[in-house]
Amino acid sequence: MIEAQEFIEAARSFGFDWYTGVPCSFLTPFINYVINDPQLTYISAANEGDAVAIASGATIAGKYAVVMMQNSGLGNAVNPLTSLNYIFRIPLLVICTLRGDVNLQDEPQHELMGQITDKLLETMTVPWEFFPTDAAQIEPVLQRVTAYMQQQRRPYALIMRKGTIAPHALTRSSIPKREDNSNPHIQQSFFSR
Amino acid sequence: MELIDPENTVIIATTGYTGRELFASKDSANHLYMVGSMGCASSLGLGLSLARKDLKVVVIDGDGAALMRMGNFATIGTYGGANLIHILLDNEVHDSTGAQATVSSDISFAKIAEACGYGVTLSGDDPALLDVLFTADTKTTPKFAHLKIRPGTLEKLPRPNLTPEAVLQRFVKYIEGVGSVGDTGTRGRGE
Repeated sequence: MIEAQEFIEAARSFGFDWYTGVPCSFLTPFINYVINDPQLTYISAANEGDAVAIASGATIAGKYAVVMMQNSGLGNAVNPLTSLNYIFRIPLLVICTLRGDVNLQDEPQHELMGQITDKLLETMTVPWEFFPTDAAQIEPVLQRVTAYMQQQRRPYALIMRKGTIAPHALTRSSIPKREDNSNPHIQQSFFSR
Repeated sequence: MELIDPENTVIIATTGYTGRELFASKDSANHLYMVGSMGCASSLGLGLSLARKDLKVVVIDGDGAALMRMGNFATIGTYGGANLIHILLDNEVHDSTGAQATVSSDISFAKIAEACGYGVTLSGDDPALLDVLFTADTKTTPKFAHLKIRPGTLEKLPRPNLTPEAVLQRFVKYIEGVGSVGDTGTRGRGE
């Protein structure tokens, strides 16, 4: 088991400071750690495909971005992964959790996706390996991730199994609230008929 | 297009005829013509606008695309800044696949945008609304306009003569050269 800090700080040293996704309970410690740090960005996306596209926009701007999702949402990401990131060559680090792991008993909805997550990534020609479970593995994994992203300019995935990350508490508000906007909302209609 | 001259402005056009029409009217390095990934233009624009707050990011969206990933209105309303301008060209059809109707004819996208937190929400069929859109000052919130347009396009509508990869490389080079990018330290190792 590793600490959120161990991975996120190592990732930060490789340039990753921009995170987006749709949660899985396995990812909660990461999401909390990123939200807690004002120097890191976390965007709570409505859909995993949106998250891929949002992260792609940040990547175009020069960021190293991470997209996090549960494998149940990988299907929502297929379209942009195949027709945006692959075609335009926009690299990303995808962290995809493994619900329905064949070695565990999980809820029924995950049964099939648990069996095909790796194959689905391979079918999309997204290289993957398991998320590091030991702190010593983190740096070599990130070396492989960034080497691929820099050379091929396409996404690389880490499949995260249950129990990989130790808990980490949330200490800040997770969604930004706009200050009371003194500017009134501007709404206007321009229909000629 | 005359409104979109400032050097720190970029345009992201959604997939379908929209990108091709933008290319046909004027090809420029600050244009990104999306292909595939329908519905993703506004998400891509959001990410870009957040990571480069010095850029003015204009997203030209379509009704079919906006409906496909409508959740992103809420994400933009929550996180988007004043440097993000979201324009929805609504011809009420999926034009490039044979003009099948979308459900947009009685949908008020402007109300959706307002409900989701955009600071300016305009709607109409008069292109003059674009002048208002570009000059309105929201300080911190993103801007939205829903413009009803006619379906149809040029008879021989060209496709961009650059591959998507080349369009993107040209675009990245353009934004790298804009403003005081300087030492933002965002390129990580090895770049």
